[in-house]
Amino acid sequence: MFRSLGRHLAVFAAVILLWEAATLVFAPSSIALPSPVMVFQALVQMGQFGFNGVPLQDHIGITFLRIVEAFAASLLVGVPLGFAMGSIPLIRKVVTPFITLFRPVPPFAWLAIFVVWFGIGELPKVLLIFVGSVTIIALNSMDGMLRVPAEFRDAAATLGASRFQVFWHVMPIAALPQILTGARVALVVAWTSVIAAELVAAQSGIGVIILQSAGFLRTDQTFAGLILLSLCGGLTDTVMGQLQARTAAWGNR
Amino acid sequence: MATAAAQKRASGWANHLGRRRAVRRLRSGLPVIASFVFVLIVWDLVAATKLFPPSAVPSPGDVFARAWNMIWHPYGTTTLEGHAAISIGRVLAGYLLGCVAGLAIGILMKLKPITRYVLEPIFSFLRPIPAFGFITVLIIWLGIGESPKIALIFIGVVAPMTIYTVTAMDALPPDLDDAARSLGANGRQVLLKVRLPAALPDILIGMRVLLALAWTSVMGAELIAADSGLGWSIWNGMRYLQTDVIFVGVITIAVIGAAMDGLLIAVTVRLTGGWKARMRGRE
Amino acid sequence: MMEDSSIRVEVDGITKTFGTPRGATIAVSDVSLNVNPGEFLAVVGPSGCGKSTLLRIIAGLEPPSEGEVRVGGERVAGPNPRHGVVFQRPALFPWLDVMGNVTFGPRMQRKRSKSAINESAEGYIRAVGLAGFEHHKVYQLSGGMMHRVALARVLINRPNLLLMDEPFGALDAQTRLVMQELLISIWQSDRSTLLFITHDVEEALFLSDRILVMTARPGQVKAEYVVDLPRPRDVSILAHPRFAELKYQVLTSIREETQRTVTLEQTEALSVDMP
Repeated sequence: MFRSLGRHLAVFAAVILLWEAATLVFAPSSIALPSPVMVFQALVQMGQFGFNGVPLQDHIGITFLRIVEAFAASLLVGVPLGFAMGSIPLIRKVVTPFITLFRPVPPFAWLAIFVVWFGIGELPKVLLIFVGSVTIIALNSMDGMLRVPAEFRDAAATLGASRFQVFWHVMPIAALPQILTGARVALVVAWTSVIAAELVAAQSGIGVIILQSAGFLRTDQTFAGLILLSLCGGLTDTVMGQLQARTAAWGNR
Repeated sequence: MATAAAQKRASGWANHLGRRRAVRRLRSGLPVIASFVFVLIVWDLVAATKLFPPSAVPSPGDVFARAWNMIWHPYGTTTLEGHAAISIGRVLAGYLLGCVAGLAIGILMKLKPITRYVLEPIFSFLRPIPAFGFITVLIIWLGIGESPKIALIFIGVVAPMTIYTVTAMDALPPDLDDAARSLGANGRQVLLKVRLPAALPDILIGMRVLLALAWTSVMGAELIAADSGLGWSIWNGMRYLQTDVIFVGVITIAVIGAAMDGLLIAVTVRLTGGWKARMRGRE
Repeated sequence: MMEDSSIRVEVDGITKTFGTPRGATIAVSDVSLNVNPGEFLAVVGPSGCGKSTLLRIIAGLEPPSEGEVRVGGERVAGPNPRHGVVFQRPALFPWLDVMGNVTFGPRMQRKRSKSAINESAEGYIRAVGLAGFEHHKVYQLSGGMMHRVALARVLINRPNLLLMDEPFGALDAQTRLVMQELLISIWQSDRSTLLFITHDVEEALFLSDRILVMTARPGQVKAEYVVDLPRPRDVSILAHPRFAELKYQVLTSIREETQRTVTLEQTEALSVDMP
């Protein structure tokens, strides 16, 4: 997959031009299909005046905040849990049934229960993201640990490292690539969850912009919100990708 | 002389192993059943201790009673089976259409690089957007019938499916590519007869992930503009604080989802001989 | 550099059985051998004959199903940095640089001060010919260089026993020769006990004092050849008439076993169960 910026820009420019042409030629109602110019204007307008009385940067900020809190928590819980599952068979046997059974449940469904239990504050949203991410991270951490090539363990042992030292000095670093893979996927799930949560029970956030603007038939704002979402989600994914690239060499050989 | 004896041994082995295979299948189902019972017991105990109020955590008995009720008496517009059927219909329609379209577009992108050049940036731009971000726009375009829901699931499935197809077909080990070409296959044949079959297991793994995604999308769609379906039941339960209804809905979706997933695994094994099917989808 | 050490290895009736989905496989069957203090013993045999398993048992990485291994009179109960192991793949830690890898063992054992460890490491890195590369990331190194680091990493623990499992197998012929000469020069200066596994008969003849040939699976000791070529050895030994004689004898011995292995594998392929 070429990642040339030039190519992306060229394609986007073409898309925008075609889109603009379509709105001019077919002249659909500006509600059904706002023109690119309108969408851009909506974006600028929201930047200046906010949406629903809340500044745009606050909408973006609070969505990011929810993700960061939940994601950090799921790393803090998920990685050690995954390692524990990888090294202590008893823990793996106890935890796996829950994971197996709850896996077919769409994380979204948990939101309903969380809202009933915790109302419509921040907790159910952050919890939803957490629940979706932590299983992925735990499973990938466990996997990463189990997949550390036996040679690393053997080499460390024959060089004089105790079992604990192997666990502390060798395993986490060797397992890192797999952990990051899990983290990247969990991040995508996190974005999905946060938007879902904001659709259901929030006053501010990018998801709120997307949902509520359509209620006012302001589809230009809806499109603006979707574009914002793509940019933000793409940004975090790129950052993760960079992290992965830099540590990719650690897992193999 | 060695081979005749070996062959005799081989057929004896085959019978013996055939029996063992059946036993193994039975044994592999046990952990799931055991987990189910285990969780059920834990749940019952937690509910019984009244650590949480019954309105928050219904006991298994309450949930079962509600499910029974919903089977015989309509909840909302229809019974539990009705809701299930409606949701399954939506999921299947959107999912199958999306998979077929995604596969087709992916193959097209490999066959005609110009399409890839144009479409790839578009798909990567769309990828971070969860499908149900589009629900409101779809409703404006398509009204509030079945179409926006199915379209939503379709959108959610087609983009990742295309990416899976292309990525999987890209990932052929170069030796296989060289071998095929030096044996006389032209570019198109290599694509369709070598890369595609080799890519199939990975694509099928991706399809399992997309099935879960499809269920999530249908729940999103049934939140905004529906008056029936399992998702609708769950959200309605949420609105009226009926946790037992929520549990019924969640469990039903889980069971149906797991069954569909199992079906997909069986299809995968049938199509690919099983070598990658045993990998649990890591989402 | 290395301590003057004489340690004897006694392998006593070792059997190792592995359980697989297809039933039990006997990798090694009732193997007994001794390695004399300061001796360089080579073990050769067809692939799959259990030589790696045997080495792993002696290294303490796996327990035998039956029998006992004694090193220096003591029973082997687990891995030991004084019994250095060099694996087929260098198994260097890719997140550490050369220095980090070489100092790993002493750092884990915490018996010496940091400066003493570093000084020692620099010495060994120089000894394997990698002076100047201390701070290179290991994944930047060529195959031969990685093997040198692996060697230095083991030597810094001052082992009195060295176990090497086809360490140069993945290298091209020219690099392999260079590594063999390096190993010989290091070993010749302190004569620790060395058990060396290889499938390359010339390598075994070039390096060792004695060669053991193992049978096809289940592995047993089939034959023994004393390598009575003069020491110190260098490349010119390859032209020695005795070299060719011994090579012929050992090769013929292995060849029978290799043929048996091929037949064995064919038989197994017929009875494979595809789930």
